[in-house]
Amino acid sequence: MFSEKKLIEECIAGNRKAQKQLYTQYNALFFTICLRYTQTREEAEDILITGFTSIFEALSMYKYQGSFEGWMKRIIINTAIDHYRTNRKHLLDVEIENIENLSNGNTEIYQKLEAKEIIKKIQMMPEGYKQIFNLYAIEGYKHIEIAKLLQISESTSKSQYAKAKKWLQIHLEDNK
Amino acid sequence: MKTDFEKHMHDIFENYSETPSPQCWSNLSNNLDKIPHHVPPTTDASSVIMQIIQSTIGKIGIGVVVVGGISATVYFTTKNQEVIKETVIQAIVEPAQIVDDINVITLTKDEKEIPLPISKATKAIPENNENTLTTKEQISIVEPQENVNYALQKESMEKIPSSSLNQSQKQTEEHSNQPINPSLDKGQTIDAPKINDASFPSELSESQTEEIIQPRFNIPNIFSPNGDNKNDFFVIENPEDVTEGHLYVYSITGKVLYENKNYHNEWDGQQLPDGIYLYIYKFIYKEREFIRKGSVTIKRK
Repeated sequence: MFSEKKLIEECIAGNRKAQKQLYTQYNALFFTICLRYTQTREEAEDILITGFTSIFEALSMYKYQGSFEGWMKRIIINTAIDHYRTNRKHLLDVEIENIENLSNGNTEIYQKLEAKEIIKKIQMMPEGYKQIFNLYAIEGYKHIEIAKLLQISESTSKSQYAKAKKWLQIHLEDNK
Repeated sequence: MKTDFEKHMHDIFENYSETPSPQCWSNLSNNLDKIPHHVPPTTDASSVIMQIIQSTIGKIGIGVVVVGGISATVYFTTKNQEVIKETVIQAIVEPAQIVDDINVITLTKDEKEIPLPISKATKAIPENNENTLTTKEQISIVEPQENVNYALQKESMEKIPSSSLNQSQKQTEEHSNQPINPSLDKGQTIDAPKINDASFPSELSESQTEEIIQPRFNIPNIFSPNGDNKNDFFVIENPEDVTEGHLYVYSITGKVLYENKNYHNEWDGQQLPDGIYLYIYKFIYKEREFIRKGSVTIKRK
């Protein structure tokens, strides 16, 4: 086992053992991120591989500033977003019915739900919702950051997020 | 405003993970094989440059070595100043020595009179070994070639932490104003690996016959093309006598992004993203051609 700094240096030098260690350490964490941005496991694995490849390629540019995990996470997220950038047509404006029936900010139902079920629902989300929902609710990005990243306006990000949230609420209610 | 909902979502996924199939690693390691292999870390930036210089012997014209971040790039120009070849050599410079600015080395040699040392040396070696030669081995092969005459000129070497190279700063600065002129090397043999000799720069300056001083003028290292009428263009403050300014702008990876054979401060950064770019500015001053090189940052906010 290498320490973090040593691990990074060894990975840059092309030490396959170190590369494998880095992969083993983070694959599950990043795979879960990829799952949230995709519809199928296969797709998520594709993004995971591309993302890790980018991480190894860019590793020598890492400046040891901020958390290493956070740095890698951003690469994975950007890879996932790039993956869908060409598929912008998926950014649908789905009409939501019966919104009124749902109380806003009702978090009780989520307490009982497992992450696994939520991931399944997130995977089913329309693409436009999915990215914004993931970035805002889970990754903790701000709307203005999302707008910049996805090249949309801040208000689009806000409205899409509100719709995504409601979409999730409706579909989780259905589950019950 | 993050509400409880977002906080809760974040918490749910904080401690949750699923594992990908084992197939992923084998696919990834296939990809990793394709990533170009890095030169092992070196503790001295100047030794990286030396390796590059060694690998350029036998090629023609001027080699510009740019060391910045992780890569060292060599540009070759022909005698009529066209950029004909770019070679990118991956090299690792210790983080402490990574420089934001570029360091430029100009290498000139007489291609007619000098046998090509590398090709000559490799003749003696079975062909299948040729590719496996490391740079280090090449250096040792080149070393005994006594008639390798070339002048190593440098500019802005301050950032390279090699004290012996720094000593020659002043002499070579004057010297670098000369166009490619291999005749000054006649009778003087400078073996490439001896660059760290203190005697090296003085040998060069002895052969200095003519003194032409490059005009001093300001080329900015930053501008902000954001349309606010302040520093919107890359303005080179040419003195009056300077004519035929020829500007090339490169990305950090060596791609030509902008070229203007008669530059009059019209480059606005196009639609290029904020970042550092490299430029080469050639101009005529008192019927002599000069080159200025450096980096420029585009910063819109």
